[in-house]
Amino acid sequence: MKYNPTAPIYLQIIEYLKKDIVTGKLAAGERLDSVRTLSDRFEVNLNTMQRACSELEKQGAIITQRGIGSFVTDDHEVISALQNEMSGGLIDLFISGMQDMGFPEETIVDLIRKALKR
Amino acid sequence: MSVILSVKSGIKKFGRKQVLDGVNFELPAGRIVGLLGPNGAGKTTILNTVMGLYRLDSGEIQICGEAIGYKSKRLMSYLPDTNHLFTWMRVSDALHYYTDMFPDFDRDRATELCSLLEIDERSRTQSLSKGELERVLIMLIFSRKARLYLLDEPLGGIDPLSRNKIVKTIFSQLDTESTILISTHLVKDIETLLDDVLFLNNGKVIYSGSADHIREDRGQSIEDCYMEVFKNA
Amino acid sequence: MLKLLKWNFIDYIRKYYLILLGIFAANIVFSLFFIGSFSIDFSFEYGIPVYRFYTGERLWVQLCIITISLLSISSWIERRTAPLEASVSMPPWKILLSKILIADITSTAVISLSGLAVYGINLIANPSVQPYYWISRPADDFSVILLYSTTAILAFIFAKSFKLTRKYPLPATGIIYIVVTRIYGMIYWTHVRSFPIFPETGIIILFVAALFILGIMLYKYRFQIR
Repeated sequence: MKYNPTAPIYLQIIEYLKKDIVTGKLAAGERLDSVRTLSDRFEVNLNTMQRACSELEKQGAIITQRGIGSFVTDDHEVISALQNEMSGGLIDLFISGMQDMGFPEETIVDLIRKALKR
Repeated sequence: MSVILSVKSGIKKFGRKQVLDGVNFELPAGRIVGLLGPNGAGKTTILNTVMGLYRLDSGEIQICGEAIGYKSKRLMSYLPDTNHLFTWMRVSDALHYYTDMFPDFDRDRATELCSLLEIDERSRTQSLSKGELERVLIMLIFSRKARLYLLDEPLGGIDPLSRNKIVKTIFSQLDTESTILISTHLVKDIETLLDDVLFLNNGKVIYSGSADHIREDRGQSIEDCYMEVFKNA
Repeated sequence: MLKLLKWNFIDYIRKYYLILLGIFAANIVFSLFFIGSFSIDFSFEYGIPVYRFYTGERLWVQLCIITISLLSISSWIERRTAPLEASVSMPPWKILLSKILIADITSTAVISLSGLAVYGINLIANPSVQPYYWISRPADDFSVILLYSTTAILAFIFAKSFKLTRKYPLPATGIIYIVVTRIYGMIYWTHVRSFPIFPETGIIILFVAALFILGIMLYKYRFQIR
């Protein structure tokens, strides 16, 4: 796992986990591995993993039941909200990039349609 | 959170050289802390002093609330930057030694680490490569159940494969009761390991903070922050 | 404590067995060719009861003792393996006792065995040579060697305890050792010799105990590797 050292690592882990949740790699309601196992898999400090998990919990993406474990939320509204949030970011990035290059709105839409047909 | 190590106004002079010039810091439990600084900043001296090899000219050091002495050594596990094992030892000898001399040494964990780190117990420590030796030493100190782990340059000149294994072992050792202090001048290599950093220059702590703070609030990597702080020092 | 002794001995012997063999052989050669003449009578004089306390004349023997004692603290001198020892949580008196015992037992063994070897050689040459008191000689030697090896180790600890001498530990150790052993000589000649009723063993025990306590104090409060 490669991390960008200039941004907080726990945030990068959050992004990664959110992506898994949105794509369904981590199914709704699925049980998560322990923090320690996760930190091993992500090759990070336990504290970093802990922080990422707490943050995800605050945002409602993960639910922890004491003594049982942590689970991905089974609330589909939350998951689609996550989807929107992540895609929103991607879209904003794309649009600002295209606009920087000087493409007007209609051209951008056309280019997207053509690209999707490919 | 309990304080594992506290150093107050540590001063030490070797002959004419002022090696420690008022060192102050505290290490809370459950963190991986980097003691970063150029060669000659005093990092190894601090570690050696905490271990009792040197004495401070003035100042106070406390481990888990008790002043350092022979009793407090049972709380610490030290990895020096040299091969500190007896020259004739094989890895199996070293394992026997550690089992005999350290009551908190866990032989099962040692066996587990040996297989994880791919260590051959019959090999002679003198004939190991740098990477292999470092893995053996790491295995030994992390098979002990200590409150404070002191690592002096654990990753210097190590091949990437050994490095990876060592880093994984360091991570797996962390728990809420113990703290790992890593002293190095190779900042880039341990960027992603650290919770907190201490920058040491000319025997003084010139910066201390958490890795997250550096990244979030300063928008820098630890290495960038290091370069900036030391350039202005 | 036993574990500490076990490992210190193992390390000592494995590191220095060649040196010890060399001392053993050199002792034999020295006794046979320099102290006495070959084959006439038992010529390894060291340990004759009358000279128990004072070995000042026997510089050669002193050299053996001081070498062996310094070898026992070699890890402090060398500094490479010092961190390993420093990691072990042992009270100062155990550490010191272990080092003294290693030096003492090894020197007694080397010296007594070489004495026995010289006796054996003499026996071959001249079967009517006086008997070697195999049990009592090493026992006698042990107490005196204890005194001198403790002095050697203490001299080093003393040298490493004070700023001035810490810079040149080995010469300082040598000087302190010579000075203290001269003092023993003086005490021997003025008191023990003149008042034969003075129990020699008593004086040796007293000195060793005093040195030991001094050593513990220094080791606890002032001793530093560097």
